[in-house]
Amino acid sequence: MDEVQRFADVIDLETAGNRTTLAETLRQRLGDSALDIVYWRPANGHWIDELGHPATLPTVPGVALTAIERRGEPIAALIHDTVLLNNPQRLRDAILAAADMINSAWVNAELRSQLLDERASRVRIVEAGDRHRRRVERNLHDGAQQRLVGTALTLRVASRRAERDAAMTELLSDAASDLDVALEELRELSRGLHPAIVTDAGLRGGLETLAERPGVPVSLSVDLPERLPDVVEVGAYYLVAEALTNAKKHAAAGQVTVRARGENGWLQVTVSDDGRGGAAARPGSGLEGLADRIGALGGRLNIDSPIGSGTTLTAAIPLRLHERVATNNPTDRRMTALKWIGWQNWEAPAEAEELQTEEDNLNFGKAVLLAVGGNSGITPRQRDWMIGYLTAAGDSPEVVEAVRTYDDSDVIEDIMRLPKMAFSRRGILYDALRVCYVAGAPDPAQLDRVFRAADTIGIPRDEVRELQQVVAEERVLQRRRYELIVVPVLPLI
Amino acid sequence: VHRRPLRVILVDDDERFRAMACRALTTDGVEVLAEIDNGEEVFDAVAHWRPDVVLLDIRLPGMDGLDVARQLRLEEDGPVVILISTLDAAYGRRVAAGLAAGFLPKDQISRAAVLEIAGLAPLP
Repeated sequence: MDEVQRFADVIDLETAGNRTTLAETLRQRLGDSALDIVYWRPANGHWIDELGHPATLPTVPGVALTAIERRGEPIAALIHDTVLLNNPQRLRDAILAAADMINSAWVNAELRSQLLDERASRVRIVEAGDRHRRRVERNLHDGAQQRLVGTALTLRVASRRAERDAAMTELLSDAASDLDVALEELRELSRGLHPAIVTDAGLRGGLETLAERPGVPVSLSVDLPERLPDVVEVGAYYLVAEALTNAKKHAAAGQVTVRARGENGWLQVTVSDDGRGGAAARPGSGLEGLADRIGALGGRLNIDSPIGSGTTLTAAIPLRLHERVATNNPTDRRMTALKWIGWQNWEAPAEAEELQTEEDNLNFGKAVLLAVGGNSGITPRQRDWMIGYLTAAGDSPEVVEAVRTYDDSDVIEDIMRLPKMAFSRRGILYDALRVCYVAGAPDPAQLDRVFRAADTIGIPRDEVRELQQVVAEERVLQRRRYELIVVPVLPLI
Repeated sequence: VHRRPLRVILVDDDERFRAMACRALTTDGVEVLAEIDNGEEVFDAVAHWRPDVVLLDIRLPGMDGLDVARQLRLEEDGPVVILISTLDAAYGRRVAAGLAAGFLPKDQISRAAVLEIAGLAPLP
C-alpha cells in the first residue's frame, strides 16, 4: 500500500494518535464493531497487540485481514469483517486517514514488546542464577556438610570412650570446637548461596527464621499466600536478610519491624528500624544488588533513611507480571495447560498441579491405560483419546510417546504404590471410565476390567458405579451440546 | 524420670550419616528401632514399632520431612517428632513448633538433647 507510505512520509509523527482510540476510530468509521488491529514485529517475525503481547491472527470464516505496509514492509494488519472487502476504497480511505495513528501505535507496540522481552530475559537471568546457586548449595549440603556433621557425632562418641584419658579428651574437644566453627562457616556460606529454608518452608518460614536469629529484636507480621513464585520468594528473603544485617551491623538499631503481605497481585515488603539512618544503595553494596534483583522482577525498592531517624526499606514485587512473563516459556505454558485440565476436571487448586512431575504424569497415564486393559486392550480411537488428553494436559512429548507405545509391562498395583499416586486413585478410575465411553456405549469387558482395577487399588465398587454414572451423564450432556452447537451448522463444516 | 531406654526411629536418606548418628545414639544408651531412608515408609514403621521419638530429616527424596511431620501430627497417640537438619539456624524453632516438638541440628544429636526437646527430661 504505497499510499500509506507516501502519506506517512508527510505526516508529522509528533501528532501521535492515542492508541486506545485507534481501533475504536476505525470501528466507527468502517461500521465494524469487531474490527481489531495487530502490529508486525520484524525483530522476531510475530504479530503483537497494541500492548506488545504476542497476538494470533484469526483463521475463522467471515473474517478478513488487510495488511498495512510502509516502505514495502508490513507494519500492521486490520482484522475485520469480510463485508468490508466489498468496498475497498472506503477501507483504504479509512486506513489513510488514520495513518499517523497507526504508525505511532506500531512504534508504541514495538517498544512495549521490546520491554516485555527484556523484562522476561532479566527474570530468566535471575532465575538461572538462582538455579545454579541452589544446585551448588545442594551439593555442599549433601556432601561436605553431611560428612562433617557425621564426623562431629563420631568425635562425641570418641570423647565418651576416652572419658578417663584427660589428654585424649582435650585433643578431641579441640577437634570438636574447630569442627563446630567450620560447620558454622559452611552454614553461613550455604545460606548466602541459597536460602534452603525458603525452598522447604516458603517465604513465611524463611522470614520467621530470620526474625529468630540472634541480633536485633524483630516484630514480624506476615500475610501471604502459601507459596509465591520461587524467584520472588528468594528475592524477598534476601531483602529482609540484608536489611536485618544492616540494622544490626551498621545502624545500631534497637528494634526492627518486618511486614510482608500479598495484595492485588503484588508482594509488599517493608522493613523499618530505629537505627541511625543514612543507608543508601551505594555502588557495589548489598542494597544495590537487591535493588537490581527486584528491578529485574519488575518491582521497586525504595530506601528512606534520613540521618538519625531510622531506615525504612519498602519493596513491591509484582506477582502477576512475573506469571505473565513466565508464560512465554514452554515449560510454564505446559503447566498452564495442566492447571486448566486439573481445574476443569476436578476443580483442583493450581498449586496441586505444580507438584506434579513428568514422572507422575507418566505413571498417571500408564495407570489409566492399564485400568482399561492396556494398549493391547483398547481401540485405536480410545488410544487417540488418551494421547489427545495427555497432550492437552501439557504432558511432555516424551511422556505422551511413552504412553502411546507402552507395552503394558506393569501391574497397576505396583504403579499405585509409587509416591503421590494414592491421591489419584479415583481420578484414574474416572479417566479409565471416560476411555470406556469414548465411542458411545462402553464395552462390558472393558468396564469389567476397570472394576477389577478398582478392587486391586482399594476403591469400593459402589464408588466406581457412581463415577460411571457421572461419566454416562456427561456423555448425554455432550450429545446435547453437539445437537445445540454443531448440528445447526453441519452442512457448513 | 524416664527409666526404660529411649526408643527412636531415625529417618535420613544418607546411609553414612545414619550409621554415625545411630552409633552416637546407641553409645548414649538410646535404642534405635529402625533406620529409614524415605518419608513414605515412616508411617508403617511408626505403626509397627511405636517409638517414643521419630528423628526426622527435613530434606528427603519424595515426601519431605515437613510433609511427614504434618501427617504424623494428625495421628492419635503418635510419637514425638523431632526434625533434624544439617542447616541449624536456618530452621528456627517457630518452623518446627508448628509441626513437631522441636528442631535439632544433626551434629547435636544426643540422648540428652532428644529428651529435652521431647519434654521427657527429668527436672534438674
